[in-house]
Amino acid sequence: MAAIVEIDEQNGKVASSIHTHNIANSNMGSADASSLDPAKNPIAQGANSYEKWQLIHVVSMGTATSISNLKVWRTGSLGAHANHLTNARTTSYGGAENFTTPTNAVSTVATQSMPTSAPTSANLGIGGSLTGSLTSPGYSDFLVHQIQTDTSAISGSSTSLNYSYDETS
Amino acid sequence: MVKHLCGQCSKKFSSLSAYLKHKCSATEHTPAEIEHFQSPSHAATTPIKRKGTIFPDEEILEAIAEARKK
Repeated sequence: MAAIVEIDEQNGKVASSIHTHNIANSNMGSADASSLDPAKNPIAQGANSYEKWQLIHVVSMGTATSISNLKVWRTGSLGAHANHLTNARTTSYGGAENFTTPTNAVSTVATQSMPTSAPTSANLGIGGSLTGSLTSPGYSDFLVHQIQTDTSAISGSSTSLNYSYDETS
Repeated sequence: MVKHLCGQCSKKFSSLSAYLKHKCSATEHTPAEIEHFQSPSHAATTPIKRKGTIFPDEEILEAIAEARKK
C-alpha cells in the first residue's frame, strides 16, 4: 500500500489560523483563503496575490519507509506581466519557515521565480533541509508562494502547480 | 490555536487527530483510508470475457481432426 499524501494550506492570523487539509485547488487571489474563487477575488493590475502557505502532508506511510526529494514547479502560461515567486529553490534554501499571517504585500519569503519545469533536485525541504526525509507521518517545510503583477497584467491565463516526492519502500 | 478544516467536506476540527479520524461526507472515507484514492473503476473488477469464440474447444478439435482425415 502506497503512502497517503495530501496538500494542506494554512490561512489566517498566527494565533487563530485555519489549517485546511487535502485542499481542492491552489487558486490564488485577493483573499487569504484556501480554494478561493478567483473570479470573486481577482488580483488587481499592479497588485499581488495573498501568499499561499502550503504543506505536503504525509498522512500515512503505508508500506513506504521514506518520503523525500520534494519538488514543486508550475506549468502553463502565467501571462507576460505576472511573476510567480516562491521560497522553493534547489540552492541557498532558506530552511523551514515559521508560519506568519499571509500578506498581499511583496513577500519577503517568496523571493525566487517558481520553476517552470521539474527541478533536477529537491527544492522544498523536510525538517529544514533539502535532503531531509519523513519516515513516519508528518509535514514538509512550508511552501510559500505568491503571484506579483504589474499594471499591464491582463486576465485570462492559468497555470498549474505540480508537487512531487519520492517514495521508498 | 490552529483549527483544522477538511478541504473536501469543510468540516472543522479542534485537533489533527480528530481530522484524521473523521469520516468525510464528501469522500465517504477517513483521510488515512487508501480506498479514498481508488476510483470506482479500479475498485470494481470486471470478469474478462473471451472474444470471438463461438464453438467450444472440443468442437473445434473435432473439426480439425475431421479435416485432417480428408
